[in-house]
Amino acid sequence: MTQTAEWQRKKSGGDVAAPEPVLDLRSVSVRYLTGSGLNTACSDVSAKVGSGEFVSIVGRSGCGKSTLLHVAAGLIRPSAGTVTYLGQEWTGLHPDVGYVTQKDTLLPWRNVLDNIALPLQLKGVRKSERRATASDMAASLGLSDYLRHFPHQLSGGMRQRVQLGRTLVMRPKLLLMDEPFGALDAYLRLRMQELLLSILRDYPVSTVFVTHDLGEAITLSDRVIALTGSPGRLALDVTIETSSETDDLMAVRGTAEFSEYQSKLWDTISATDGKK
Amino acid sequence: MTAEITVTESGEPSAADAQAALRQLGRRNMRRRAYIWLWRAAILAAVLVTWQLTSGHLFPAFIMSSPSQVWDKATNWLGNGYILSNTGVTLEETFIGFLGGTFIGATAGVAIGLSRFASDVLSPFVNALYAVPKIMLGPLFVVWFGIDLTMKGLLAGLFVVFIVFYNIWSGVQEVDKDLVEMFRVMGGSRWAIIRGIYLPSALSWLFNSLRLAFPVALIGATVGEFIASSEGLGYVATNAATQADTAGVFVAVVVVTIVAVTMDQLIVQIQRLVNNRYGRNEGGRLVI
Repeated sequence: MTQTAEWQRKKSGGDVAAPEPVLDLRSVSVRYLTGSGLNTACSDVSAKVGSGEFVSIVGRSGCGKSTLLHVAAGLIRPSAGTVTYLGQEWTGLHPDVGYVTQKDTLLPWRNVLDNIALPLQLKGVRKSERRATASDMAASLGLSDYLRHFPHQLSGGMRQRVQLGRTLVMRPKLLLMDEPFGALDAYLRLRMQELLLSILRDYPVSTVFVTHDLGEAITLSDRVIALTGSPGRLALDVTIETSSETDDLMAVRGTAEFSEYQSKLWDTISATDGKK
Repeated sequence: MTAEITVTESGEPSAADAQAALRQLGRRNMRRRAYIWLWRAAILAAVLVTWQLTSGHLFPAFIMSSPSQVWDKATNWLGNGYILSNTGVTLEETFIGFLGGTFIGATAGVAIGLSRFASDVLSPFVNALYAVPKIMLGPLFVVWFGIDLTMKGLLAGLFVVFIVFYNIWSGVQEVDKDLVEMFRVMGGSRWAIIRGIYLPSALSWLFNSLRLAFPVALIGATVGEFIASSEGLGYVATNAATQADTAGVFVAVVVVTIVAVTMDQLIVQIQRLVNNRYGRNEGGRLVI
C-alpha cells in the first residue's frame, strides 16, 4: 500500500507498511438529524492507515473530514460501516488513540508540566514518575523553560506544542489531529509543521491529520486523502513520493513535485464546484 | 501613555534612554495615582463640609444631624464599648450565614449541577426562588426560630445560599464540553472528570461569588435585627431612629460600611493570592 521513499522514512520514523493497518475505516457513513432534516456528513468512506504512516485528509469545509476524525477517535459511532484498530473492531473510545484539536483544551489551572502529565495521572502513574516523563516530553518540544507557565501565559503556538506533548506522552499507537495549526499565522504554522515532523521521529506514531491547507498536507504526509462534496466522499487517495531530503519545508514547497501534487489535489477538490 | 525615547543613530534606543523612559513612565503613573487620591479626598471633604454647613440651616439638625454630631456620637459609643459589642454580634450572625450558606450553596450547586436531569427538573424552582425577595421569609423565620442570634444567622445564610448556589450551579452546567471530551479521549473516568474539571472550575466560581455573598450576608443579619432584636448594628440603627437620634443611625451606617469594605478588600486580596498562584490576575466570570 505504501511505497518507501527517502523522505517518507525520514518523516514517519520508519517501520512502514506493517501487514496490518493501525486504523481501518470500511464504508463509513455518518448521518445525523438536524432541524432541517437528515444530514449526511460523509458517505461510504473507506481508508486505511498503515503502521507508521502519516495520512492527511483534505477537503473543503463541510466535506465531513472532521466528522471522519471524530469517528476514528471513537467519539461518534458511524451510522454505517466499521472501524477497526489493529485488527479489532472498535465502537467506543480506544486507550491507544491520541487526539489533538485546533482549539486548545489545556486545563487553565495547571501549568505546562502538569498539563502534559495529565493523561499519565489519569492512568494512575505515580507523581514523580509522570513528572519525569512529562518533562522529557516537554524538553523534546522545546518547552523546558516554560514548565511552570500557565496556558494563558503562552502563545498559540506554544499551547499547541503543550497539547501535542500531552497527547504523545501517552505513547499512542494512533495520533489524530484536527487542523491543529489552523489558528496559527503562516510563519508559525510552518515552524510547527517542522517541529511535528521532528517530534514524530522521536516518538513514531501512525498519524491522521485533517487540514484544509493542501501544502501542509503534501509536505507532512506519506499519503493524502481528498474528500469532496457534501456529503463527503473519497475522491483521491494519493501516495506522496518525493526525492527531497531536506527538513526545510519552505524549500520543499518550491520543488516541482510539490506543485504537481498540489495541482492534482486542487483539481480534485475544485472539481465539485459546479455542483455547489 | 508612552514616554518619549530618543533613538540612537543605529535606530535602537540606548539602554540608559530606555531606563530613563521607564522611570519617567513610573513617575507619571505615580503622579496620576496621587491626583486620583487627591480628588477622592476633595470630594469626601466637600460632601462633609456641605453637610456640616447646611445642617441646621437648610434642614433641621435633628433630621440631618451633622458630621460633628456623628463624630461626637461615635467617640462616645466607642468609649463605652457600645459599638464594639454590637458590631461583634452582627459579625457573628453575618459569619454564621456567610460560611454556612456558602458551604451549603456550593455543595448543592456542584451536586445538582452535575446531573443534567436534576438540573432540568429543578431549574424553574431555582429560578423562582432566586427571583423571590428572600426577605419576605423574615417574619416566618421569627415564628420558626425565635428572635435570637440563630434567626439572624439563618436569614443571612438564606440570602447567601442562593447567590452561591446559583453561581456554581450555572457554572457547572457551562463547563467547557471540549475539556470533558478531551478527558474522555484520554480515558478519564466520570470521577476523574468531576475531580479534574468540575471541582477546579467550581472553585473559581466560588471565589467570584464570595464577593457578592458577604455584603448579602451582612444585609441578612442587619435586616434580621431590624425585624426583632435587642443587640447588633441593625438594632443600634433602629433604636437610635426611634429616639430621633439621627447621629446614632449614621454611626451604625458608617460602622456597617467599614465592616463591608474591610471584608470585601480581604476577599479581593485572597482572590489575588489565589490568582497569583495560577499566574493570572484578571477576574473570572461573574453571574449575579
